Amino acid sequence: MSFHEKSNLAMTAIFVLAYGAYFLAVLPPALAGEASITNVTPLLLGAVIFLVIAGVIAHILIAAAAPKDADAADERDRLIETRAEARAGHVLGGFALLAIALALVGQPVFWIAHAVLGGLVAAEIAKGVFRAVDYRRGV
Amino acid sequence: MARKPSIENRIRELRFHAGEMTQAELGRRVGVTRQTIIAMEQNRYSPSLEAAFKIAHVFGKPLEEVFQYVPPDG
Repeated sequence: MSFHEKSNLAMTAIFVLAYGAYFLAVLPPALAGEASITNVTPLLLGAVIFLVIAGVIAHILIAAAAPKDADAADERDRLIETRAEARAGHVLGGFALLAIALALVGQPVFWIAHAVLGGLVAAEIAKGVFRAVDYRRGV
Repeated sequence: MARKPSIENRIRELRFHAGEMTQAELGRRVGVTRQTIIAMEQNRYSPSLEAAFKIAHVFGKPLEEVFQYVPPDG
């Protein structure tokens, strides 16, 4: 496994953990009628801080395990990245349309903001899955 | 399951005949990672034209002796 493939798996897992925990903590009370942006801001900051710290630690460990390969990228990595970004763009676009629809029907800012955030998270996770599939299946 | 490739190659065989050149050495001379050479040998990656020419140059062979196009219908 190349540095970029390991990095992709680690970051995808960290993304799922960070934002999975965030949405599990935020959505049930919001669906029960306590939707408030100010209430969830500390949780959102916590998810971002966890993402950054866990990402740095994961990359240090991956680089330490194979120092020669650290951050070496070539044409295959770039092709896989381009393909994954193109396909993940459809996921992001779908959530953007959802956010616009929520705004048009007058939903609270909380739900519009979370449709956008959900889109960014879902697109990033989808990108990670697309990359993982391309690395294993071939391009 | 790996996709069916349209381009196959003899890289593994040519490495063997080139003094058992390592995948890392070939990758270094072509400018790709060892993992990309592995992916090519397993027919999981078809290289760019530039990388294909570089690989053929390393082995001192014409391009078509290293890479072969396989039409989709066999």
